[in-house]
Amino acid sequence: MPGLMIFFQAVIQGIMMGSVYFLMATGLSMIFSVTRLLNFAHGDFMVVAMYSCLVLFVGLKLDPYVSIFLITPLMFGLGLLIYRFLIRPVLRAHILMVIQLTLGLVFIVESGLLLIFTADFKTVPTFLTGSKIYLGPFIVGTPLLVSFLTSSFIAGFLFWVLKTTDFGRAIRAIAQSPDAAALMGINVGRIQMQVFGLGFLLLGIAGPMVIPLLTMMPFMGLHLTLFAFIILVLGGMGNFLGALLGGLILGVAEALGYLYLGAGFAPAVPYSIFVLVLLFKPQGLLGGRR
Amino acid sequence: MLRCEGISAAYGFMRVLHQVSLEIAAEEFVALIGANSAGKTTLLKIISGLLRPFAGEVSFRGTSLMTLRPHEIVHQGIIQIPEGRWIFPEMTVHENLIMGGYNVRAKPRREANFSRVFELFPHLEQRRNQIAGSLSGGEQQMLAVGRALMAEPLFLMLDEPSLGLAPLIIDLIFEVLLKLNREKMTIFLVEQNVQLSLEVARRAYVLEHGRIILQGASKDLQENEAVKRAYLGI
Amino acid sequence: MKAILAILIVILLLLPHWLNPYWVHILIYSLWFVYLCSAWNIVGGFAGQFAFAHSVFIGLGAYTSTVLYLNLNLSPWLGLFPGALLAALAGLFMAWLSFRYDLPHLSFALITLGFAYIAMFLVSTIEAVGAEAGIHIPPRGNSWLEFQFAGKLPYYYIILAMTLGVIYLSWLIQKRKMGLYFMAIRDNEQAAAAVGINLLGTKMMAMAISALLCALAGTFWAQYTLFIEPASTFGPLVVIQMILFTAIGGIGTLWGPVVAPLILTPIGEILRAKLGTQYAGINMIVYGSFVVIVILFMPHGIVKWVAGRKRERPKERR
Repeated sequence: MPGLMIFFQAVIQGIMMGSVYFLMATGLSMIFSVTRLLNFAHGDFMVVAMYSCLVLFVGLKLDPYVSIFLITPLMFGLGLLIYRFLIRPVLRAHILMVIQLTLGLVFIVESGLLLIFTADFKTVPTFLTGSKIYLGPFIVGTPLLVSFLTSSFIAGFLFWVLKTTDFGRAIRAIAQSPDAAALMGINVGRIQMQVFGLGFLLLGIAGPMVIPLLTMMPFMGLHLTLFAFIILVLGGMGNFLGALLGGLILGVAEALGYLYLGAGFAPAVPYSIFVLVLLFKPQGLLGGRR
Repeated sequence: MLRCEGISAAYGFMRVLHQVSLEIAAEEFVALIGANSAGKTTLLKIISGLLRPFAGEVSFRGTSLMTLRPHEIVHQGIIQIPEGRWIFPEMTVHENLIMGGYNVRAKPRREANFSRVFELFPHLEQRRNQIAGSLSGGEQQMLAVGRALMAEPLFLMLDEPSLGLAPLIIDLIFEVLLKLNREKMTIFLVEQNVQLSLEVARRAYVLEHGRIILQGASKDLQENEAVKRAYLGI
Repeated sequence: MKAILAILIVILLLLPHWLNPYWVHILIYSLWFVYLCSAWNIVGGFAGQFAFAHSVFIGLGAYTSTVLYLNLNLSPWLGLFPGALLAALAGLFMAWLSFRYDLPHLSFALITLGFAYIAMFLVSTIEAVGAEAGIHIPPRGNSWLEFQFAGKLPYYYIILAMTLGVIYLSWLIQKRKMGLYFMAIRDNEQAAAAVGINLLGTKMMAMAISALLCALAGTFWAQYTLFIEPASTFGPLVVIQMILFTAIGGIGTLWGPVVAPLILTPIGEILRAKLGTQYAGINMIVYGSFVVIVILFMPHGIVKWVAGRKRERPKERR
């Protein structure tokens, strides 16, 4: 049955794309769980990572898959800096002030990218672009498959870190009660900074991997940030497994949306889900605190 | 060991503590008693570094704590079991205890400390993989004390440990406290239950509306008319 | 104070006669933002309901009056009423949602952002209004009836009148009971309800007023630029700019939404004109940087910061 085949094809692609969305969103989720902060510029920094690949390609002829290794530590450092100088001073203020600050960052980053790279759609060739793999009767672009495998691996790794390492436990402790964590001797401020950096690091991985899948343009950041928000809301804010589930749901919903509703209405599907979940189950589909 | 001098604190414009001074020597068991909103919890928060007073100083073994961050104060050996226990509800008993032993000083002896805690509270050992949020009030208090012990405290503070607990559990907890004090641990107990506090502590301070109005040996305070009328209902 | 205001108004009235059209355009654009920021401030600043939905209100105003204008030849002066009505209804709906589902500030802000995006996508699928490409309004002459003018001056006076009107309205609200109710909700909803303030009614009122005003701005913009499209008219960029400008000036103050756009928009436009071709987007970088700096050093906005410096503050308890 061709109808069913197309359906499953879309679902598979949705799941794989969803894993990439998860990668982007999980950084935001962890940052939120330890700081209660929502960074509206989160997606924009992923775009920064992508454009950095462009620079490295033009300048040093590096394939984005190689650039990942250079960009990731730099993004971590960038995250630390931004947290220390821009975020930490405002953390104790009203959350709306922090939103305004990060919105300002959105403007700065998006316009900065516009300035340097112009508004033209850009892309960077990778050694995997265009190649495909057959999974049984289904076709999957290799870059998408690679992204899926990488995201899954990272998801497993992060889960392991959260469960078994002191750092992971400290994160979970702070997420449940920052004051109690402080009384345990946890340096809450330092962990918050490190988690922020970690979030950026994950963007440094997600960005380059997504290059073969999306065309780059300076204003795509806010849209990506919103997708991350949608995933957070779907899975429950700050819930790690929730982010995983949310990412998959978003990916599949988007894919099916394009399949059945066409390119016009499809973009509205994720946002509609977003609004509905916020209204009817604001604690997320997996329940959880708040 | 611990000294508070002239601590004054406020929430906004509301004054909570006025010139509070007290002293606790090593190996002592001292109580701070007073009614509900007298400011006792605020004082403990200040000692632990979670709040800053606008006047006064806290010093521990001669070193001022005023510039230290909360985690640094924990590293000094000052451990608080807060009111309401603040256990991590989504972690298991075992994980909560690990969190207790998080600080750098105690890490190497984590396993040994586990044994000690389970010795004191065999009940906890049975439940070591249970999610802390599902424990009863008494079990959570045991967990909170165990968690504090994992941190190898030099100075242990408890805020209203008897709140909401059945008398049997209260007895158990306080027996453990007495045992720890006999083993040379310094304990600072903040309690609403005056009768109980004066039975276990050697010395006590009375805090009323943010001021220390009485202090002395527990025996003397138990005989004191004002105390008897106000707090012992006699 | 009143004298200064009067002089300023006179200056504003006479100014455009001496300036070339390019500067008049900058003034118009700046005043348009002053108008929008003040309108947003009514619900976001006074009433504390932080919302991103205003792009929907502006868009409804612009599209409704345009559609009626092109299809029914209805003068935009009349067409702005249905637009304003639709926007007000949308605003009422959102306020109702906020109340009915007891939404915390962050959730409400995100939901309105979601609505803004949904609206943008939906409009870009409707062929009848030009879908993604939008609508170019054909120039139909130079008359008040058509709400189209050859020169910039009439537009200027219209937007000046609108802006002065909104500022006056804000001043009135601040002074009257309504303002008190708004601010009570902003500061502590539960306490406000406990004192007997009608939460639902007040929220709806604030949102409806704000929505209505924005719709008018939408119609004005449609007639001024003669071009509307989903991306810019229904897009989030304008709303975000509104919020950022208001934040820089001072959310919840009367003059904050006035001062900030008047300073920043001309700077931005001049930068865009001088350097725009070479350095596209530089005006946005300036806006963004201003916000970051202000939030870090003057978190309550310029107006409050200046006011704080002027007066000797009584020494607060340390």
